[in-house]
Amino acid sequence: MAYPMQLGFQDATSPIMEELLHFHDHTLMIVFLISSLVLYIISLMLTTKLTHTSTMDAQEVETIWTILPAIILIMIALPSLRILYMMDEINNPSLTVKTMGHQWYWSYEYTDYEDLSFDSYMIPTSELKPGELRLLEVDNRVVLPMEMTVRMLISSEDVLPSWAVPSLGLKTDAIPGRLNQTTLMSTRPGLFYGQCSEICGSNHSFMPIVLELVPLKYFEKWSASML
Amino acid sequence: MAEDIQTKIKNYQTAPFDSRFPNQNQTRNCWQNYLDFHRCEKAMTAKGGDVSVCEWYRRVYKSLCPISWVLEKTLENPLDCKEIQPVHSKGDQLWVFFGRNDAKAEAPVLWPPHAKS
Repeated sequence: MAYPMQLGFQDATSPIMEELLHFHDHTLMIVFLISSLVLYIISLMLTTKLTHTSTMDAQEVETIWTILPAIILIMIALPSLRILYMMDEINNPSLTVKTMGHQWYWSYEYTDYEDLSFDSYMIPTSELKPGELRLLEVDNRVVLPMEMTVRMLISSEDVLPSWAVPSLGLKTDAIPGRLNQTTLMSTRPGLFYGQCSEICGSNHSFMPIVLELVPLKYFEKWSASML
Repeated sequence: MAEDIQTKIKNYQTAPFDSRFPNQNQTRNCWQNYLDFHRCEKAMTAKGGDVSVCEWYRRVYKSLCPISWVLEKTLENPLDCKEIQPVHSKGDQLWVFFGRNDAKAEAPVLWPPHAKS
């Protein structure tokens, strides 16, 4: 989950998020290079006593600073489009989980076999046990099997919250009357936190999401115990 | 073909990818399978056929449709809707009509301009 003084993304838990992380590093590097080059040139311009007032042409440098940016943009666009298409790949999920947003909690439904559904409220700060995270813990976590493709269908019963889990690279708006689909695939077990990502009323900041990714055996045991 | 369906239903994990609904909005997917199940069930019971072939659609709509969207009971008369959408406690009062209900009131006289009604 997020930690104090964090500057970058959370560690990636899904392959897509890994790709996005690397893409961001690549693009940010280009941005830093261009910015520092421009800053350097500006500082050079501002700290010289030399002047040149006669007009001249500059065909060579003009060509370079037209072609080079075009190449740089292509070098950004190609990985970007690759990831975009990767996100839309057809995958056959092994499990479907529905989440309905309410004011101000999430409810989850696992109805592939039996009808399992439960609500997930934030644990108030006064009731936190030692070591638990403020404003992030919930009473009932979303237990999911790891290393399996899960289809998440997100909707809402009243307001317009947004279901987000940054370490998996997920953020999907919950709209009443509409079922939004996103795909979840975790490469490792663990607890992954997210927070409601669209203003939806007074307790918008107090409806977090906690995913508990476990091996399939434990998931089956858990779902049997919840019924 | 029926055998294929039976094995498909037996090995059901979750709703498979449906190329009719390839995008993010899966509302129609849920709706279509719900509709298909009820139509199949109706057609099979009308013909006296085996309703178990409709099981596939039932599993798919159960996987996709949120529980609160699916009505578990059949609506036979208007009173069935009352429980779902509770009518306001004052909604059962008679609606009283204030005004004239004769035909002359409905037809305004526009000419000559000084005529009233």
